[in-house]
Amino acid sequence: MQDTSREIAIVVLFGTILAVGLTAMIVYLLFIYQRKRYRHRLEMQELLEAFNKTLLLSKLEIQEQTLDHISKELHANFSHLVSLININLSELMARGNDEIRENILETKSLAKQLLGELKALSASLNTDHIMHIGFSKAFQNEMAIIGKRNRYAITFSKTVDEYKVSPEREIILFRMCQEILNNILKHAKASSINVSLNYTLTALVIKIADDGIGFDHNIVDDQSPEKQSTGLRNIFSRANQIKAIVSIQSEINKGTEFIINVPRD
Amino acid sequence: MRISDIYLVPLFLSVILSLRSFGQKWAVQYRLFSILLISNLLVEVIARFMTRNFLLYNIYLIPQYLLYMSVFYFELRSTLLKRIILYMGFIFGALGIINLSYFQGLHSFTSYTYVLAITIMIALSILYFYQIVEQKEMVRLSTEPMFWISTAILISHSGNLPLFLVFNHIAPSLLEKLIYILLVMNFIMYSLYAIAFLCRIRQGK
Repeated sequence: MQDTSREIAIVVLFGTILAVGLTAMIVYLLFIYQRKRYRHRLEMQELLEAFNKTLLLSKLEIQEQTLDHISKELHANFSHLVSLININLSELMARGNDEIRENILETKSLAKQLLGELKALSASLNTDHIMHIGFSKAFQNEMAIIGKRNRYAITFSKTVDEYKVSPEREIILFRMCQEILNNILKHAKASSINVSLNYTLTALVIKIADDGIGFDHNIVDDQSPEKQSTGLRNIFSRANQIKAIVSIQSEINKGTEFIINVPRD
Repeated sequence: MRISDIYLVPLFLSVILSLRSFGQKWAVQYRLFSILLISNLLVEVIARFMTRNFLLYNIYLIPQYLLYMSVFYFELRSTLLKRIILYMGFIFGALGIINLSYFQGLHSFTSYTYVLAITIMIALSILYFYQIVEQKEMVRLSTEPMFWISTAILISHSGNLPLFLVFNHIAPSLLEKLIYILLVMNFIMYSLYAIAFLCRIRQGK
C-alpha cells in the first residue's frame, strides 16, 4: 500500500514538473518568437524610413539641380537675348521717325522690365546666389518681386538679432517659403501678405499669413493621393528634412497662417 | 501566517493592483478579471474560518471558472471561438451542477469538475497564444497584461492537472504532502497576475 502511495506521489510530482516545464518552455518560445517578430518589424520600418529619406533627398537634389540649371539658362541665354533685342531697338530708334521712336522707347522699357524680371527670377532660382546673400535677404527679395505686381499689400518684418542658419537648411527653408508664397498667389485670392521672421535664442520662427479664402484642413487631408496638394506635401517633407515644425491655421474666408519653427543649429 | 497561506500575499497584491483597471477604465476583460480576483480573495479568507471548506470551494468552483471563461470571451476576437466559449460555459455549468448534485456531492472534492475546468483553461490559454501569433499588429508581450494572465493560467493549471486527476484516490496522509504542489502553483499564478497589472501603466485607454 505504501509502495503504491509512493509511486502515485512520484508520478504526480514528475507529471507536475513535466507539465510546468513544458508549458513554461512553450511560453518562453512564444515570447522569443514574438520578440524577434517585433524587432524584425521595427527593422523593416526603419529601413522603409531610411529609404524614403534617401528618396526624398535625391528628389530634392534633382529639383535643386534643375532649378539651378534653369536659373543659369535664364541668366546667360535669355538675358543675353533680351540685351540683343535692346541693342537692335536702339539702332532702329536712331533710324526711325518720332512716332516709331515713341513705340520703340515703350518696347525698350518693356524689354528692360523683362530683363529685370528675368534676373530676379534667375536669382531666386539660383542656389549659389541664395546661399551667398542668405535666407533673410533672399526671402525679402522674393517678397519685393511679389510686391511689384501691385496686387498685394505686403508687410515684412524681422527681428534685429538675426543669425545665419546653415546654408543647406537655408536653401530648403527658402524653397518651403517659396512654395507657401506660390500657394498664396495661386489659390488664396488674398489682398495682403504678412511675413515676419523672428530670430529667438532657440529657433527661427517664420510666420506667413494671408487674408485669402482659406481652406478646410480635413477636406485637404481626406482627398485622394492624386488630388492632394503636392505643394503642401512638399512643405511638410522639406520641413521634416531640416527638423522644422510647420503648423497651419486656416479659416474659411478669413485667411491662412503658416508658422515654421526652425530649431537653431 | 502559516507557510501554506503564503500564496495569499501575491493574491492580495494582485487584487490591489487590479483595482486600477476600474480607475483607468481598462478593457472589460481586465475589470472582470479584477472581480474574479476579489472574489477569489474573499473565498480564501472565508475558507480560513471554516472547518470543512470543501463545500465553499465546490460551490465557488462553477462561477469562478465561468468568470475565467468570460475573460477569454472578451479577449478572443474570433466570433466562432466566442460562440464556442459561450456553449462551453453552459455545458461546463450544467455538468458542474450535475456532478455536485448526483456524483461527487457537496462534501467531497469535485475533482471531475476541476479537471474539466483545467482542460478548458489550458485550451483557452493556448487559443490566446495562437491569436497573438496569427494577428497582424505587433504587441510587446512583456507589456501585455493578458499575456501574463494566460501564462499564469497555463502554467498553474498544467501543474495542477496531475494532482487533480488522482485527488480522490490517494491517502489523506499523502495528500497532505502533495497539496504543496497546489500551493506552489497558486503562488506562481497569483504572482504572475500581479505582474499582469503592473506591466502596463495605461493599458486599455
